Amino acid sequence: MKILVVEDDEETADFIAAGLETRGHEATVARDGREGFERATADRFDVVVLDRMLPQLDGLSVVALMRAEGVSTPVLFLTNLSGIDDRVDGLEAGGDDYLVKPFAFEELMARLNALARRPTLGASPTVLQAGDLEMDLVARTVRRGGDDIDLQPREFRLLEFLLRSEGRVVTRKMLLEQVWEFNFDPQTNIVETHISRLRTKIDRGRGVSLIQTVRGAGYMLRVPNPAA
Amino acid sequence: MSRIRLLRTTSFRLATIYLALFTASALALGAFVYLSIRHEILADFDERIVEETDALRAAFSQGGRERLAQMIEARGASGGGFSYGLQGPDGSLLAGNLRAPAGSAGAWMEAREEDGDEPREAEPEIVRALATRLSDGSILVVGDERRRSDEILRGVLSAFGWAVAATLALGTVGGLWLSAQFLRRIDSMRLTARRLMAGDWSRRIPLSPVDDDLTALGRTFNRLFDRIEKLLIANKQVSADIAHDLRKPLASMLRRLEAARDGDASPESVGAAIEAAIAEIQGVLETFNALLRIGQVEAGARRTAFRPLDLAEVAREVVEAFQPAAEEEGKTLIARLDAPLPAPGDKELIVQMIANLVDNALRHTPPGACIEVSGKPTPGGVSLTVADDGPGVAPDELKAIFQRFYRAEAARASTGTGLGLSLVAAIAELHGLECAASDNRPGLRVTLTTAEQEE
Repeated sequence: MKILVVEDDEETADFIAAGLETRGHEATVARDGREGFERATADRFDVVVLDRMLPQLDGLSVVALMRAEGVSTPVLFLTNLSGIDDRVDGLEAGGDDYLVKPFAFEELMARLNALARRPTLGASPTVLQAGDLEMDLVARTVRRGGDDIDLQPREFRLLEFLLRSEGRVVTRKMLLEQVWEFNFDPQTNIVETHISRLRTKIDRGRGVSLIQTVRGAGYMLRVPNPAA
Repeated sequence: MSRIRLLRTTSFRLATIYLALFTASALALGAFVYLSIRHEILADFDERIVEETDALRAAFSQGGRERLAQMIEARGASGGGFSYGLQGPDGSLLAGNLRAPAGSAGAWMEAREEDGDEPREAEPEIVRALATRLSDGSILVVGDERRRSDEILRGVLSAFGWAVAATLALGTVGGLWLSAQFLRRIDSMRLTARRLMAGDWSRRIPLSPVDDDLTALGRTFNRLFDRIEKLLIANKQVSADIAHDLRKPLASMLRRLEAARDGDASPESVGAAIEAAIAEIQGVLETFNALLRIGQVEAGARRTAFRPLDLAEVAREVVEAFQPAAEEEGKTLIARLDAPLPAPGDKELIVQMIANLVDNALRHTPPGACIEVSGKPTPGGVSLTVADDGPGVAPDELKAIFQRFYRAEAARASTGTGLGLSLVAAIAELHGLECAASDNRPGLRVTLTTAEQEE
């Protein structure tokens, strides 16, 4: 991926850029809002990591200007500890996702992956598929290997999100936000127990497990390589 | 209180203005009354003079000048209050003692009494008189002592003067009294405010039993003071608690890292120390996040995001989210939310508020416990309850569980930031909900009820 990092704090910028490069991505760093805007409009990036508080031009303005220029590159906002209003403002200004500092690098990576591969607007599929698992979004049915699987509404949403992110890591936080619309992290293991139930329903008794736990990061739905 | 201050009070100024206006209108009314009375009295006196003159003229036409003279002498002696004068055509005074100036016949005049026989008074008496020319050319003058009408009018004037003086005196005294009353109450407010400023936050403005505007003002101020006191106490408490709560993880982090650096530690134990330090830091950050969130909610900035919500629906969603986890822990989580609970609110915050309550119940109950989320509409709004049958909270601790960092005695060992219920309280307050904890016999029951609207 080609990623633009607009961040005035040197330490954070280096941390992100180094992390991205270690994982084989190409990172460009801009130190202030004006430079960030110029780079974002001059070059094509897969995704932009944008700090909220920037010299010259703040993050919200950068996104607004980018969108006004017709640049639709997905934007992930970074912000310091705080929350609630900031997230709403960021998304309203044209940002696509939002992450509060400090964050685990895996969290950032998972979100960047999700943003970069976000399907472009247009025909969205009515059937999602992974291996022998099939989800019909219109009839709201799930089948695996020809067997009907009965899912609770929330389990359906959870599986739908995992299927849409097939092959990519999704974090607990992402699941809480997307599946439950919880913008906080409860003490109780909501995600774990739901995943475990979903696993029981779609993976138990089958040779191939689709839902995998990625240690220290989250979960991933993936059809194992048959050659492996 | 000093006299100057008394005179400078609003109420005294108002009383003075009122008094001045009242006095001016009383004076205008008095002048009108005085003039009317004077006019009436004078007309009355003139009428009497005309009647007397008519009677004397009748005597004259019957018995001529002699008879008239006799009658004048007789009447003058009888003291009927009139003065008379009969002048011959040559101007000589034939009877009585009133002399009309020459050429004044047939008109009203001011006549002068001539006291031939009595010692001359310093001031010759002036009377109002009517001079009539009789058919033989002599002039009859009938007068009435002006003094008598003047006396009546003077009486009226002085009575009126006393009345005005009494009004002024009473008004001034009343104004001063009212001002003193007003000042006493203002002073009690001022004194209270000073005590508060000096740090005695338990002080409140004493409220008068009379429910007037000052009492209402005092009550409003007292509510303001309640709020400030609450915030001050919370603030003081929080600073100490934050320091206390953060010292522990920081100290343990320091210990672990030092041990990893100094000792001839194996790579495994260094790794373990780093892992532990990361976990501690995450805990600290979580605490900060929770504090910031509470701060944001308490600042009330989110009220703009309020939309009509059904709290029952939101609560059902939360219960559904926690259900599998509860079952996993061997607990029963049920929702009794049959009626819709309409209330305006910020959905994200309401979700977190209910989630925190359920979270709290799950964390502080043993396996086998039952947690019930219920709600019902109330006349004033809605009521939402999260109740468990766990060990509960000691009665003397019930109020404190919403304080930041408070952990009930029974929950000392539990994990968590100790801020979950504080956030619940902050969100509830933002939404005008009253947050109350009670004994569920057994267990803890937290009820959120729409607070009564203040006037």
